[in-house]
Amino acid sequence: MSPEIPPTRKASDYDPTAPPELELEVDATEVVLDSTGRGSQEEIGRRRFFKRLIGLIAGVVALGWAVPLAIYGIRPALLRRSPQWTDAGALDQLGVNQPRELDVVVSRRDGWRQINAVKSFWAYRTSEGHVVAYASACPHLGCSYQWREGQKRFVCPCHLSIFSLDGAVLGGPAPRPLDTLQVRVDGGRLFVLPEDFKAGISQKTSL
Amino acid sequence: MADGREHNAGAVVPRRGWLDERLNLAPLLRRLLEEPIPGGASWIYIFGSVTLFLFVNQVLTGMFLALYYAPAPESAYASVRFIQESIALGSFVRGLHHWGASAMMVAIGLHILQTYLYGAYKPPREPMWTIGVVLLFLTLAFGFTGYLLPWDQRAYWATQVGINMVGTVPVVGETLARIVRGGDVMGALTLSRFFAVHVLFLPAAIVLGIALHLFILRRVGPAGPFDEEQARARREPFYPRQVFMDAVAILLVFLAVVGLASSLPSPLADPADPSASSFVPKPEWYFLFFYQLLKYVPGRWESLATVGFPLVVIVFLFALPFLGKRGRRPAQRPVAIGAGLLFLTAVFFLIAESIRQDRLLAAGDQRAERGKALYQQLGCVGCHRINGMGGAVGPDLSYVGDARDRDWLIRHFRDPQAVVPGSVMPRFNASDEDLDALTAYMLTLKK
Repeated sequence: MSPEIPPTRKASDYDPTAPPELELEVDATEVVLDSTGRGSQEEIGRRRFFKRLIGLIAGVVALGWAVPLAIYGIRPALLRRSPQWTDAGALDQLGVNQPRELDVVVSRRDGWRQINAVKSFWAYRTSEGHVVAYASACPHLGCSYQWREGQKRFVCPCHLSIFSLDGAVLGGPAPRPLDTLQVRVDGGRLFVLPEDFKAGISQKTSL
Repeated sequence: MADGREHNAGAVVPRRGWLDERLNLAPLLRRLLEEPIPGGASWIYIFGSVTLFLFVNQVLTGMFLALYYAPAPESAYASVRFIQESIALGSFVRGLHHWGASAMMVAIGLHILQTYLYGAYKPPREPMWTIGVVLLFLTLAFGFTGYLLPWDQRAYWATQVGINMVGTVPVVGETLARIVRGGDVMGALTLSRFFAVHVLFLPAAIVLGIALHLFILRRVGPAGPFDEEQARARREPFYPRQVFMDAVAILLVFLAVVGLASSLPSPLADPADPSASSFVPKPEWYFLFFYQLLKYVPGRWESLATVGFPLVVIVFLFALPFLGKRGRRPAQRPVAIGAGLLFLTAVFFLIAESIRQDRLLAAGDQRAERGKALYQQLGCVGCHRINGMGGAVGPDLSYVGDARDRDWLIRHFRDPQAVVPGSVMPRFNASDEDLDALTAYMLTLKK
């Protein structure tokens, strides 16, 4: 490589009678540096030593930034929130084998906000006195299905999936039965764990 | 390390890498690394690099803080608290930004001090110094605008005071204050413009300034020692020793900021409350000396301190490289060195004084609290009345702080009859400390 001399301007207060500035040649750096006159072999080792240490420090600082910032930036997005037991009203509003659509107000965190969202689900009492509850979204593609009292069937208007009272698929494209929700009864009141499930697959999977 | 057979792989005859073969990077790299330093590498030159490093830290952490921050009065405080308490490593990342800002102020201070001491602003480096002064004020503007963003009590009230100071500028003050505030009262528009200035306007300006500062540095070269003999005796390229020193300093500063961020929580007071009248706003420490200075200036001369003083500093800083035609040695610059020392002494005195007064106030509050408890314990309330509560045997003490001074109160507590002959007040065998506390409480009872 041809030696390039950086165009350092002479400061006006430099003594003009001084000897010419040392020329800084690419391959002469060692010579300039090595005032003891030792061989350049040692100089190469010295430079490599500095290079490695500088690289090490750069690596430590880069990791010191990258790891916490990545965790900070990504982790909150991957958190799953667990549904909360929610009061869905008095138990006696449910008829035996007569599904009814109920609404609950679900309070959830939205970043730094606490927001309230209305969620609906279907529920009925069995003749044995148990409560059965279904998520309100069709397991096919998430449309809202309805109960047809005349036919004693759940029918989804979007793609005509049909379900029986116990949730089984009787017809249409639905890949799995209606999604049951966990419920419990306490002091004559119905509590539900409102959850959402992935649509379009044969396995019931929480979102 | 000096393995002879390996020396071809060393830095002197570098292997040409894949990118280098295509982009021909070697000459560029050499140009960047082999800047000659008159007088050789030195630990005294690290502060510029450290400042640049801390700026990069502010940019990085700031970008990540923006992921969760929402700049509106309804959401700003909640989103900062959310970062602080609910986000993984949120308080750490905010800490890096908070302590990084303080560290950057310190680094800039030392960088200026070194430049000043070495007379490095003298010709031919006037443009570099001028840009440096602009960078200093941009950094202070970063500090001022960033301080408001959490929208807590400290932020709100300190900014209120800061903007009102702008308002004391003669003639155009009110207009200027409105422009800074975004209207006649602080609110949503103030917050959104401070946010925009902090994360968009100032970064654009400062990146330009830094680029210019570095460009000029590469054109004129570093100044080196003020001793010309020393400067000429030796020259050493920037790489490797100066780069190494800079890297070590950067690592230490990084570790210090990480240590602070992980051990000390960044301050977050209560949410901003424009109706709270009891909050005492205090600026960040790097504005503290100025805040303290205002305490000594009588009201009529207020604008002399709020406008005159900064103006003098600004004019001085910009004019500095054009003043004085003598050499760079400190001994040749008695006026500059004297002025610098005076300024530093004043700044440190003001900061120390501000901290001392704060401590005293806090201690006084504590003593008065204790005195209030003692007042109840000792049964004073049986005879004395404060704001309608208590007996009517002794004098009403509601405004005793206006009527009596500290000396009188202590003498009277020690021996009531000696001060007020015929008084029925019993003598208390209380400790000096208790009397002190009781007196402190009495002195708070004012109209």
